[in-house]
Amino acid sequence: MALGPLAIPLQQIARCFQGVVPANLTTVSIDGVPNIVSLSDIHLVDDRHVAASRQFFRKTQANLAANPRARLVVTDPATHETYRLAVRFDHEETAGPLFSTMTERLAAVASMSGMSGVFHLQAVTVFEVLAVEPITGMMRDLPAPAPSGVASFDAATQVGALRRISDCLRATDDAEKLLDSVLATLGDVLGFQHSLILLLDEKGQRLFTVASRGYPESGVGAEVRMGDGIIGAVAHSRRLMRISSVTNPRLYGRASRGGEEGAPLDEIALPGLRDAESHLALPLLVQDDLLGVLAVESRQFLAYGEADEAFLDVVAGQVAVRLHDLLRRSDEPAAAATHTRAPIPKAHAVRRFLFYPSDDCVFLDGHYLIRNLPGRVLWTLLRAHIDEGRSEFTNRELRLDPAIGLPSSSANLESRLILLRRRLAEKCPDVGLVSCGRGRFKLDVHCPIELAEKR
Amino acid sequence: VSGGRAQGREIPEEIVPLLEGGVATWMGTCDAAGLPEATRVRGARVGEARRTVTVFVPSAQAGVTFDNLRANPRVAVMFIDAAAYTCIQIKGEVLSTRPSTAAEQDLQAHHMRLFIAATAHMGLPAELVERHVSWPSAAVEIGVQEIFVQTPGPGAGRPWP
Repeated sequence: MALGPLAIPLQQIARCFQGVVPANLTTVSIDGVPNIVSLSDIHLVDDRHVAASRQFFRKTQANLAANPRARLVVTDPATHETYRLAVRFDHEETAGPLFSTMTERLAAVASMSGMSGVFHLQAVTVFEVLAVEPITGMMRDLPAPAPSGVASFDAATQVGALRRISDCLRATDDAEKLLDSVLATLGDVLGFQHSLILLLDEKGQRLFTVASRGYPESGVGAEVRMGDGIIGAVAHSRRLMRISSVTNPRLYGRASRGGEEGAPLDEIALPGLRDAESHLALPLLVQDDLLGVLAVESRQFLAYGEADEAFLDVVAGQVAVRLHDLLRRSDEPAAAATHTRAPIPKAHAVRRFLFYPSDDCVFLDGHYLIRNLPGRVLWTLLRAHIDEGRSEFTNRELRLDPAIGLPSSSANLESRLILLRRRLAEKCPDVGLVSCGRGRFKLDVHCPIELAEKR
Repeated sequence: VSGGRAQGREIPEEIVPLLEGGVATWMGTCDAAGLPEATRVRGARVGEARRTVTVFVPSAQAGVTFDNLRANPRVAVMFIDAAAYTCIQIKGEVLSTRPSTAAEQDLQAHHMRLFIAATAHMGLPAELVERHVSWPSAAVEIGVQEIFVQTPGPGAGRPWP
């Protein structure tokens, strides 16, 4: 029998399904004994169905098999308005898009909570919603929730921010400037004060930070493994993810960010707020190709909503297309110089570079500098400078150098050069990589350097 | 409502603070046809013999809970300490239901203060939590028959030892 429309559409109470305030589910056994469980993640499937992640609850499953009628209680985290949903068990899923989405979300939260591997999604339980009613009498003087994020700015400001970003994308011919300008606009105009852009490495296994804003340390070079935390999960799934979690990240710290002990010696800590309440991350996609991830976070509770998702989705799409174009064209020679460095006085102190060929790791004066592909590139440039007196190079010659072993994609080379340029600027401004136009650059050395290898 | 079957198992002393603390608590009931209902509980007190627990149910928000109890005294009550990430479920039968007393209103107010402190520690805005209504309420005395561990993890669902 066809059911009429719900008195309260599920979309109207979508905030209840953000996983902030746990829901509870009451089922009843065949002999009339109730069972009530807490559920951390209820997913809004469509206008008539919701889904719960099944992890441990055998009794609930047994009850639903015998008696499919259940009571689901969900709470709006912004107002604490609470709703009773009369639901009926519909089916379970152990594969498919819904299962993947909920698995990735669960994995991201677990990873951010330092509990990777603890929670295993066994199945997704899908319920048909038969009725929705508010629980009256639960709250007094219920306030209207204040708008947050993009929604708190008027339409003119939002459009103005988009225009500014579009102008920047059109005007700049430089990937680094583009990244910085986009993050600056998001922060200055729309209040996204803490943001990161990470790009995918040449093996497709890790993302590395190339730009950040709003943190004491830039974290350029910090890496995230595919699947780790919200950033890794977004890269893996290629779908945006928003997490507004009150409990888990606060309780269990941030394993994916190096924990309380700090990063190991040869790693760079990912910039991040230890007390963030809201996270939103979006894939940078060009068709099916993943370029990287744009991530924002906030200390504000429930800082991001649907408007932020939609807005940043548009921005991420535009940035990805332009960035892909700039990175891909990096092998093509162009005449005009695009980068300049402020004059750097000649330094007298010797900078000592130590290279570990076993893992392509470069240390500078005893401190970790960079590794992997950009480590090999830097070592090649430094050797050519010392051994042959060279200072100017092209992307193309790097690509053709078998000792470097560059990947086939020119976009990966340029993105790694951005990372190398920024690490040098932070850690060794006496040695710089200066672009001399598209596809060309200069190793700008302003100090005596010594090179050594350690096998 | 009054009556019910004989009291069941003893409540271990170590979980009394959880039951009586400022934790999130919900009670599930069902009618004769097996249709479930859930309602919030605001405060609980363990009986002296530790074989009963009295929970305080704000009356105006209880839905069909009390109708259900007249048809079927069996209940399940879930206590969640979100700050410590622990959860317990108690199952049993309702022995009696009556309006809460003035002294019990004070107990509920104390519970709310603990609840507000706990949720504020977790980041929930106190100005919102303070708007939760607890009163008037009914005192529901439950004879405890079973206790289950429900903290998320591999041990979830097993009986409390």
